[in-house]
Amino acid sequence: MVPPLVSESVWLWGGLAGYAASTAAAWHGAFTRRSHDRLILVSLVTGVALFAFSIAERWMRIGYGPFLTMFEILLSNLFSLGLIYTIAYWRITWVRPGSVVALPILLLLGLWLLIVSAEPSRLPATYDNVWLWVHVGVGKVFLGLCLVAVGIAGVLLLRKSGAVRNVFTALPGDETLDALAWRFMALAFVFHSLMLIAGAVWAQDAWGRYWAWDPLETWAFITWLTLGVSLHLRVTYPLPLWTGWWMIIGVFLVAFLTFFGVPFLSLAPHQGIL
Amino acid sequence: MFESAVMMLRRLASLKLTLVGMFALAIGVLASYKMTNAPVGYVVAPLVMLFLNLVSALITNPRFRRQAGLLVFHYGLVAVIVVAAVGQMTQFKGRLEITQGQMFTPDMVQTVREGPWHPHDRLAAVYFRQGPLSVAYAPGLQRGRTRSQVATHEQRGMVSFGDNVPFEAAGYRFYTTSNKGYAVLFNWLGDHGQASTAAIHLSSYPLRDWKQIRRWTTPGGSEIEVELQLPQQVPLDRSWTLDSRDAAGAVKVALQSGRVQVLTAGDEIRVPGGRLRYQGLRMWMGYEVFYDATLSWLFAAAFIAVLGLVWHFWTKIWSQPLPGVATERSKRRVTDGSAVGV
Repeated sequence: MVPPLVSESVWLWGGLAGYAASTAAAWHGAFTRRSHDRLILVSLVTGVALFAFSIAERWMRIGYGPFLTMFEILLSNLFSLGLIYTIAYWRITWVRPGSVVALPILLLLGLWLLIVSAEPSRLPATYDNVWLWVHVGVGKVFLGLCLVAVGIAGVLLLRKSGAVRNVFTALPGDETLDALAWRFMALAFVFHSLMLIAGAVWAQDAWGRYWAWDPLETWAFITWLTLGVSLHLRVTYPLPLWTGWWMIIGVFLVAFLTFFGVPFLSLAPHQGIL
Repeated sequence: MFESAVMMLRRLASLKLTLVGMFALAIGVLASYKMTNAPVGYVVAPLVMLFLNLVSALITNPRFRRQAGLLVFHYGLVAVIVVAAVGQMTQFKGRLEITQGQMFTPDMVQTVREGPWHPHDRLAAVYFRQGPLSVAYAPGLQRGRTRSQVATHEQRGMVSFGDNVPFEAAGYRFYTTSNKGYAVLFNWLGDHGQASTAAIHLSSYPLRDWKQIRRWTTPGGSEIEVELQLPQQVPLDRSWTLDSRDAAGAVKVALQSGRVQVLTAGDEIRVPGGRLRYQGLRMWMGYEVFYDATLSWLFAAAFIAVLGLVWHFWTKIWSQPLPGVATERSKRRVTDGSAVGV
């Protein structure tokens, strides 16, 4: 369902156009071996800014932040993932080739946004809590860092595959990019741990229990455990590098399911949400 | 004897066992999530295994002990498991309904879960009297902010709380719930001079506004039916506030004899064994009660574990150059010859 044509959706369409332009430029650059770094960066910054405007305008219109519905979760993640990816893209040169994998994921979220209902809900009183902000904030940083790592891991796998072997040859060696990807995963582990702690404090305030194994808590813990196992495997066993790249993608898929699947497949993602 | 104990600890400290434990924990968590009434052992058994594995590694692995950040992280994890386990043993969960104006007494609390180490008499240290309460509703009967007030020893005036701000007393946390409603207050005047006051809690309001009726046995032993007659309907199409200060309404009392009488505040009705005086309408509030003395310790242990993780990643990963990459400093060292010992 396309969101109603209020002014916030104009910003939204603009943001999507920015992400689409950066994705197209990334792919064109990869296959023609031309650098479109500046164009990609400008498109990303524009997209992030327009999504920020869209969120702000919706917030002012309906009176609460993007915390509840699928539309709001997708919208806020388009902003946060875009922002974190843009910062990484701007500051770390070797993150840039990963844009051919990471930016289509962002664009996919944007297309998904267009088919979900934009109807607002009502913010429960238990959501008026500073720990919710901390919980959501560090959670978004976690997913953004995973996205950066997935971009790098995806490029490494593409380079290893026969199909596009000659496209990414100018990049540094596998060891260098592999280490860079795992640096992001390590940082993501820290932020995921903080997300669990902040979420527990919020849950204690909101519902009188810090952990109850509700669907979202269960899957968030599974994600943490999956990332923990991956980090453990990598440092304790001399596995081939490509297994680590698949592990990064696996962790991202579990995290993606937790963020975008579980809250909307179960009847009661967090007790008291309705 | 000592050597065999060390050997056993080394086996327990195996990294393979760590991975097996982590996989088992993931499977246990998923099984508990999918199955209703899954045994608690599905999660506890892998946790105990991981705990023993980690403690054994801390004792037997000197390389592990040399990495301070990693050590702090893992000690933090051990502390989280231990503190959470102690918390489960001392924890108390319960619920209660209390009428506006009523003093709290421990016997009001219905126990939901009580850990074996929870001090049974501790609830007696809680002192408060229920004050007014209010709940805001948006159109469509969507519940908004709940505000409850109580009078305590410690503070002058009323303490206001609700939703994600609990009332705290003697280590217990009292959380407001969606469960609240009207209470009909009767004075009982027995034929032989006995007098008492009773608050009859009607069903949750406005959730069951259509069922504000209840059977009640008087101190004289006769059963009566009490039905609340509110002056207005629940508004569905606009915002409104349910406020105990506005509570007013008549009650229809039906006796077993078939006699029916509508009472307004101050009216009396003759029933077998005495008289009932309708004192007026109040509200009752439903609370969830929670006690866990380990919450701050649990938070501290988890936070210190994360700090240890940051310390470890910083020293081992983030502050190091990427493999195959020459930093500016190492380039300078190569240029001026210092790196090759010339």
